[in-house]
Amino acid sequence: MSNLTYKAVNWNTPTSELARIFWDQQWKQIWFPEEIAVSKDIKQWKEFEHQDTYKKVFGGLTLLDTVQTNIGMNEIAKYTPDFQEKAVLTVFGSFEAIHAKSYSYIFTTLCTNTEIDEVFEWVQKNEFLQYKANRIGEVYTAIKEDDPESLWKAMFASVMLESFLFYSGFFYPLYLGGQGVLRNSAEVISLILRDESIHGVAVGFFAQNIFKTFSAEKQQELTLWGYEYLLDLYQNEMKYTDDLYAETGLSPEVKKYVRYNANKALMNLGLDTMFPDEEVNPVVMNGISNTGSTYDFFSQKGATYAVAKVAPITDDTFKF
Amino acid sequence: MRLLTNVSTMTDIVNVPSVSKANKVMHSVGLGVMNLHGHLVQSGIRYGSKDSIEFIDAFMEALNYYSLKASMEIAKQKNETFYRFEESEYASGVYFETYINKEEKELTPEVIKALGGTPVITKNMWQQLKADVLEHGLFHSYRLAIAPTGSISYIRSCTASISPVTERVEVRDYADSRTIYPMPFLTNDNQELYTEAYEVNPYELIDLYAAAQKHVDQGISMTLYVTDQWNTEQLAKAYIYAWTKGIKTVYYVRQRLLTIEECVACQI
Repeated sequence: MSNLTYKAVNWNTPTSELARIFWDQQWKQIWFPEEIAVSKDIKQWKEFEHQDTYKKVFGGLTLLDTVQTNIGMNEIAKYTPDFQEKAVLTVFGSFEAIHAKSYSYIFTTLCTNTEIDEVFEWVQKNEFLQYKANRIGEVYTAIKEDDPESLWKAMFASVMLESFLFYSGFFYPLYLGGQGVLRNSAEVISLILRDESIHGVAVGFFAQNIFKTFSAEKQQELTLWGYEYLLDLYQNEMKYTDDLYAETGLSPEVKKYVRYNANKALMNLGLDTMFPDEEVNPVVMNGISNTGSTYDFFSQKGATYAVAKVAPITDDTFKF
Repeated sequence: MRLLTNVSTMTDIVNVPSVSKANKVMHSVGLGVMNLHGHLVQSGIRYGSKDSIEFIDAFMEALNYYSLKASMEIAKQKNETFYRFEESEYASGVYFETYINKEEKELTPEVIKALGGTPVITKNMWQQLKADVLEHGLFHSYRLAIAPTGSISYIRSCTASISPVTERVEVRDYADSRTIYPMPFLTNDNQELYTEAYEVNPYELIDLYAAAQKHVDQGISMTLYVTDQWNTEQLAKAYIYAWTKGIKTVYYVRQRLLTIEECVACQI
């Protein structure tokens, strides 16, 4: 038997500045794909012109969320020293699993088994997609015990994935949904986005706290590493976008959106943006606003509902 | 009222006998209103302010008065009242007491301007109406209903019902379609007055609905607008307050999520 001293997580005293806020916010917005009536998209789907692109978009997203569940959040949580942050990251991992499953839910609803198998095969064969997964995965698996530098790099990679690389895929359902096409699948994406925006901000924030502890030279070295890493991912992303969106002619629009999100990822990490400001398609920009819409109570569960905090009713409740 | 009455008398839903019978004997209709927020904006009045509450109070009183008058005239013309009118508080005159004994207060110039051509109903007018109703009766058992209109309002360039707007430019997901709808006559100059429902003080909202409810014979469906920062105690408090003010139903609670940036910003 080993003779280690195990420590217990103590939420009584905050050990991390914002861990509880991220924790509360994430749980408050819990959701399950089955709550969204994707089957209402079937009719439109049957006549939808770019089925192939759509399927591949979701295939690509599934892969990224799988990497993020199986490796990303797990590895980062494992090596993050703070127990409360560890807990938050583990919760994030669970949501990534929900996301990965939700794409399957859409596939199952819209596609035949053969089509689904083909998409998953394509995922394994697409060189750009595999390159992206590899570049992210290798940083995740390179984290070492008691080595803040490798942990920071992994957090950097995680923010790249969640605030930047997902968006070449998110573009399409948002673009279509904003025009009334395949609205319910787009709703699933809105819910995923709502989570990813917390993950990007939170992991970026944790990364910034680690970054502050480094010497100026180390900071400079890591910043340089970060920009080079981003640039490499960006160049691959441009090729992936061209490949994925070839038949739709949307590639230039998607690329603008990708650059916009690369800047956002850098901001989450407290770094200067890299690309000049461009005007992103307003239909898509509208789709990332996650404050919710005004919707019909009778046919939809809105994306805005959150679990309420419980507080006891006292005599003061009756004093106005 | 005449138009609604015609719809009611021309309708006979034979496959639901109870409805058919109720319609024949009760003659219920539901005259409603919409565009309150839009109208307040055009009158330069903030939704939820004292003026807005005085306006809706005076306006709904007039609506009540004229719908009763119309119902009385239809009863006179058709020589028919709703079933068991004689046993109602209209027939006993009790219904009119609060109006006849009301305190006639001075309205502010803003409220008078907003009322436009709508007359302010005096105690004397109520006294006269009471006498007429006692003589001729009322045709309708129920007259007024304020529906939570949405789409219908927008087609008419109105804001919904008597509710505050949910967004200055509304993103509207209904059925499987999404519509982006800027509020009627929204400009840079009046956008301040188009306060979004989630920023309206909920207690002022309840006061406003309560002022309207006083004059409406059926329950008004009121929606509460909260953010995810609200806890269950705050919700309970709003419900209890609504009940004490005579609100018949809190129809739904719409919730808006703050963004993660807002959440973090309000903590630091």
